[in-house]
Amino acid sequence: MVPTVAYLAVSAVLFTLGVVGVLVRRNALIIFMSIELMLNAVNVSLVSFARQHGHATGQVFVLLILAVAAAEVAVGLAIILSVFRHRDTVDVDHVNLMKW
Amino acid sequence: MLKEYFPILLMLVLAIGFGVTMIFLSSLAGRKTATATKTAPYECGSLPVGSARLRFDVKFYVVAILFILFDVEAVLLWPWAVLQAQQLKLTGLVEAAVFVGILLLGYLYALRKGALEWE
Amino acid sequence: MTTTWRELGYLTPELVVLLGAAAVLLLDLFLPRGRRRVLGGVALVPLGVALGWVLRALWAQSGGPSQLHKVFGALLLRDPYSLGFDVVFLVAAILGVLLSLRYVEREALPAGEYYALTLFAVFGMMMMAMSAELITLFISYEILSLAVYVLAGIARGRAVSAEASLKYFLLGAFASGFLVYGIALVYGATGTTVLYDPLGQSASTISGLILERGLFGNALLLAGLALLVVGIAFKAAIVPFHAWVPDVYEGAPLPVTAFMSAGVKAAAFAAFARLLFGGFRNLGEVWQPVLWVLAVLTMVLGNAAAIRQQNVKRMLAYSSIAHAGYLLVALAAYTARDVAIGSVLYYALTYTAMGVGAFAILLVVGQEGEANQELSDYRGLASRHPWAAAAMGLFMISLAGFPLTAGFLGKFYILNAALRADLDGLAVVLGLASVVSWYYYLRVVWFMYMTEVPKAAVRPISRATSLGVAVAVAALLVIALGVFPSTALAVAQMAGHTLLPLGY
Repeated sequence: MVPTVAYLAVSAVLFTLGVVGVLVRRNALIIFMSIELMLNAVNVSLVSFARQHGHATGQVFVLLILAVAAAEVAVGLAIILSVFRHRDTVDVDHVNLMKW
Repeated sequence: MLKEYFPILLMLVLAIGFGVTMIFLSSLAGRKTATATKTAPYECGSLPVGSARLRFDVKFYVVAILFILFDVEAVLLWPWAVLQAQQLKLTGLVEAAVFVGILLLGYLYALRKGALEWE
Repeated sequence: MTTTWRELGYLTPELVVLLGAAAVLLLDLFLPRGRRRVLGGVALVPLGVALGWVLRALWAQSGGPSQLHKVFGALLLRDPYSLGFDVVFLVAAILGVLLSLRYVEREALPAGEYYALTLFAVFGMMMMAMSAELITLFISYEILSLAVYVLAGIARGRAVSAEASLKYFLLGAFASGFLVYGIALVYGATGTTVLYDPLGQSASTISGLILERGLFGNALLLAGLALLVVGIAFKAAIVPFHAWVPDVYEGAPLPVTAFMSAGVKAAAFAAFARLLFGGFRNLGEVWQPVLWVLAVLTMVLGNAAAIRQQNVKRMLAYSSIAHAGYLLVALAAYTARDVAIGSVLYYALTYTAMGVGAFAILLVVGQEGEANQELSDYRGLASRHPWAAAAMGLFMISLAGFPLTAGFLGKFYILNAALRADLDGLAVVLGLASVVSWYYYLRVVWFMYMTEVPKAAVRPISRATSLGVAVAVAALLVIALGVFPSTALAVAQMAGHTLLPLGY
């Protein structure tokens, strides 16, 4: 049996990768993918917690997170698209009509 | 504790080792005649035209967005499907019908708004 | 399945708003393009019905014992606390729709989507105030957020609107990542996602298990709590998670900004109070110092940045950060929770009235394409349009916290809570921050009343009836809450008490 801590470590590493991705990358689409990575990192830890506690709450939450993430993808892509139509770029450094 | 994973590790090492060795051996022993025809991509007669990094039509995005939405909603039906037969009975069926009904409304909305029309 | 029709009955206002949103969407499909302006009126109906239901329910409980119902197990709580916040959301939404009626038509925004999304956002807020369980909290948080991201960018023709939407979305999705990770860690540490049980029937809740298992120093739990606070602090526009606020408030369409500044913030604080005073009440010594620091930062930076603004919309955006700081003071006063929670609710209502009112005047003075938002556009407003100037003056002195206005009493009750919790330092900072805020609020008044412009430079104002009604309602609320606060305050206190443990 692999201990829960190992899964949590993987999840924490993935989450950190996502956070770093959001902070370093400048392309809105890649920032967005990093955010999705964060959500999926959380899914890993939720499933391992659910197994540790021996009930399904965590797994149910994973399904709900998946659904919410899909909704987020839909809204996010549409927003990125509408910015692209104005600026012809999705680089967040160039999206600066107002001060950040 | 990790002992039962040893065969997997062994398999991994063997597989990677085999692949790397074969590629290395063939590059060592094989004949290399670099003619213009041979170095062209896809040796099937037609020359590549333009860049592969084309900008795709925005219509693909709309279809893709709708696909993701309806695709992932199916995930929420999975736990229902597992429990339906033994436990949920009629109530579960009605609730799933309500859920699918709401999705159907969303689909009709997209249809009526013209999100699925190609032209 | 234990869900009964009676349980659904407790959700009447939420369901009415949700069905209203669906009705607006469907009507939008079948109405010809020219007739779509009726959709705004259609959207007002469910909001009005829900507000009526909520006020009646509160009225019925104001004398006797408060009623508390669990819905769907213990996922949602129908208590006076959630009813009180529902009033705030519904008032913000009704004022927001009134402000939009003219604007949506003038700027040619898609009416069906606009009003439907507004109703969905209100639904999310109402669920957020009710949720006593972390997964439900997350889902309502997302319903609210996704609707508001789109609303911020709904003026697709204007580049700033799309940009505001992108910034809000990227940072918001980032914050919700922290929120879910926090939920996961708390779930891992305790094995449950139910925050607390106000009826004391079940011990396997987060607040119960913290006591039972002595999880006071549990690293997983504390890390989870920290991440939860980050996720909600983002929505509540608390420094240092406020980077999006000025840009999003400036770029979003004005009625959306008005609705958002009041509604989203109130929803975030509703969930925040339920989270801290409900689920994590036994960790008060841990989170109180954190809130103390956040409150000071938010008040100081919000006010300092507001002083420098020449654009009134942006100034109001920064000042709304400062107001989030005042609300945080009340949350930090957790040892005086019997008054603190009520003062949060009361302040949220007063801020809704005066904040949305101020944005309404921006709409009255502003012209097509969001022109005329600079401070200099308010020059001599009093001599040209005395009523608009008088209303703006009222909202400004209320936001600044002058006596006989709602803003004064709101701040007074927060100060009261802070002093009773022995947070003298925080109370002093609040007082000083208010004094600083007089400068930029009164500057607007000064421009309106003490400066003159040549006749040629006089610009027309919008005279739509709906705008006038919104301004009048907001102004009346500000005066009523400032002069006759007793009823509203009694209800707020009663609502606050339902969050406390039984027999407190």
